[in-house]
Amino acid sequence: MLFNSLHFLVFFGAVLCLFYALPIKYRAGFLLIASIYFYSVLIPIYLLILAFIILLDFCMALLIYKSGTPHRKVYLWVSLSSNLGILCFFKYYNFFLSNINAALNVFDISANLPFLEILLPIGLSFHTFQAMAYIIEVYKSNYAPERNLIRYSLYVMFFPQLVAGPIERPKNLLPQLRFDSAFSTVQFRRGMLLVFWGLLKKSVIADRLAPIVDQFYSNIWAHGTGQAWIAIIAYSFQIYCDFSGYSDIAIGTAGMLGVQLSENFKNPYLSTSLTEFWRRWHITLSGWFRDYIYIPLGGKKNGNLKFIVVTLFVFALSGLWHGAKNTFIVWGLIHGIFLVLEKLSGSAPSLPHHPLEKLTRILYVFFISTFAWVFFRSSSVEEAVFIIKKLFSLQGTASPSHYLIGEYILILGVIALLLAGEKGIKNFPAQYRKKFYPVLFAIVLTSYFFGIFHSKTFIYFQF
Amino acid sequence: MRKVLLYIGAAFGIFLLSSSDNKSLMEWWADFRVDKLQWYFTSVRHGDLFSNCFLPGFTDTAYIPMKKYPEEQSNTDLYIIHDSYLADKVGKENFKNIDKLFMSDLRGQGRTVHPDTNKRNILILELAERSIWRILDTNSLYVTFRQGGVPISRRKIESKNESWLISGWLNPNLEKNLEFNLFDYELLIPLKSAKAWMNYYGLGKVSGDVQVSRSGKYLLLDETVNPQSVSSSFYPHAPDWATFFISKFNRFRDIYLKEGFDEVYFSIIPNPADIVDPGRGTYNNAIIDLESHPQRTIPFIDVFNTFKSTRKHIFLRDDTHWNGNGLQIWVDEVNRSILLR
Repeated sequence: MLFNSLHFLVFFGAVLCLFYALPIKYRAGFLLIASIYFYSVLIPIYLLILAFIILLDFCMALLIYKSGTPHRKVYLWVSLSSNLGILCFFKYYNFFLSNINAALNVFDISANLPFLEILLPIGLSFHTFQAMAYIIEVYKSNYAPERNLIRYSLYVMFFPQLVAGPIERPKNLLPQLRFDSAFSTVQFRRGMLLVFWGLLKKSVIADRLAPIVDQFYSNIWAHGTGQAWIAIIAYSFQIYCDFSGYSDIAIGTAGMLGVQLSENFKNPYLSTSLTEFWRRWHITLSGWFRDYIYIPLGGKKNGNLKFIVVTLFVFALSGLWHGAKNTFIVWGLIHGIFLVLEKLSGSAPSLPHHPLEKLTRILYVFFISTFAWVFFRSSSVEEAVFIIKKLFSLQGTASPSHYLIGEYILILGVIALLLAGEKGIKNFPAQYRKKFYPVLFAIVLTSYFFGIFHSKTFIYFQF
Repeated sequence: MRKVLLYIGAAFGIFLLSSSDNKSLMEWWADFRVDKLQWYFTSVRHGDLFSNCFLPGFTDTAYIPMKKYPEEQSNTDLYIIHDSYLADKVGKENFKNIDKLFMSDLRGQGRTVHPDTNKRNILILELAERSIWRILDTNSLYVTFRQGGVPISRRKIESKNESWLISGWLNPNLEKNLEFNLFDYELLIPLKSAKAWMNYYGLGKVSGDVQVSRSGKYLLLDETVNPQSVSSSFYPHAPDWATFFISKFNRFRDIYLKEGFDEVYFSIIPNPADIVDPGRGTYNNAIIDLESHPQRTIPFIDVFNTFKSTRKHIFLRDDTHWNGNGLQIWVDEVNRSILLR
């Protein structure tokens, strides 16, 4: 079910009404049923995978908690290998196979190992990571295992963040799923504001930019340098507004149900270094990699060499998390390399003093991330290299044929508003009705009049 | 009281979702709204293109009556397999010199008929230019017949036998049905038109797969003018593209001749863009290519040239279809070239 569909609007309206009508003790169970409905709308059979992950991790966590030291590790590995096994099978089986076939071909061995026609369960990378966070936290004794299966199932399946995050930690989400805190009007209003703000970003910016980007990437040979620049910059904002818009709607809907999810984006294109960028972009995923891979591998300690190797490894892995393609790995490595260079040269500053210096740094981060997005969006590394060459080849001119200047002005205006006002929206003083309703009304009206509502799917659904 | 309101809200949402998901209930409701609540229902009162994009200023409501002929003795029965261009628009009284008229809508279930072998039985297959490509999709003729009789029926397009566990269990039209139930009301048109107006005049965009003719007088279906769409009048066809179609049409004729029809004709209704906006791209001459194909054995009822030469307003401004003038030209051509021969 897409957040930007009427189906979701009606579904969420009904869920919201029934949620607040029901006694507190039934709310978790009810939300679990709603989440099952939400997921079953997509590919019902994949509910079995979720059920398996949930039951396994629920039991393993209890066993880890009760067992002695040697057995704890066994249960941890049973859980982690099952989660990763499922993830690898669905997401990486064909990728590994094609690489093995290619490697064997080098030695003139024609293996032709068979590919599988399998659909990736939607949101698998998100909920397996969330499930693994739970089991690791229990193993590290940072969190006592949940004894209520319904509540734990809801932790994995909570529909606002089930298919594209934010990837939550048990410490933040599980206690809130008791629903024992009093109803907060301010939280409810903030949630509502975020939902419509996310919808605005998705429908007015991301979906308006999508045709520019798609048209370019569908035939990269037919476009000139100017169009290539427009398309790659458009994609930077498209992916940001698409994914952060999704996250805003997720956080907003959860907020309306009284659950405070973690922030996933903090205006990353205003970062002054890539180090800062990764503290502001997809925060819950980068936090996951930092806490469960980077730090345990000793990324923060020891010498430069280990730091370089671990950083590059983690970024390559985070690229691979997005999908089984070399382009994602290169995307991750580009970020890793620049991050390493920043750290080694000591140019990752805390805060630049001069406004011009700040602007230069913002532009530097924006263009590095934009170049990296070329790999992310391209269908192959060769295609991305071709595009990057085109950017500097001065071929043809920018002639955005099917776009009027009016549309560019609208998009640029909303992007400017986004960069300048997003922080204000997220921290809006929703307790003041006289301020709240006019702002909400303006957002709704802008979304309605300038939004595109063709239920275009979210980019991060594929991960 | 607050709880009661919340339960009512939840019940309404659940009712709305389950009713919009129910195919037969939605069919009944749509029919009921068309029959009993016309004032209430946007799509009945406006052209299909307006109902898609809500761009104001293209309303075309003038009713143009058809010529009617008195009943006469005849030994000719006319069978027409047709698409929406003829659906519910013509009757026996509009044709000359026929005894009975049998219509079969390609989009519906089809019907079984038994031609009287003592009569002159004429069959016409009418298709819009944009629809001829749908014949390709099925890799067969849309219209086929069963053994042992001469039924005119639509062959069911074989659907993939995919389990609901994979393909999902909800009605694929749920989103459309929800839109129909929630927003398809006459009183919302000013709001929708305001959005369409701002987007068109401010940003140059028309929503709902619609484009505006260069004259600014007609709404046109995107798939008929977009050079990337095969059903467009401006799609650059491969040099020998028409051969496959002609072999299909010829086969169609052979099949029905064998089944006892005396004459089988084919008629293509041009895309409105061919006539009202031919210069918006490089016209692909699709109809001319088909009509002039050397292997063609099935006779065509040609309205293309008449449409090109007439000064009459023949297509609706806010709809994909023709108006009474266009329809009359087609009926006149059938009367002249077939029935009065």
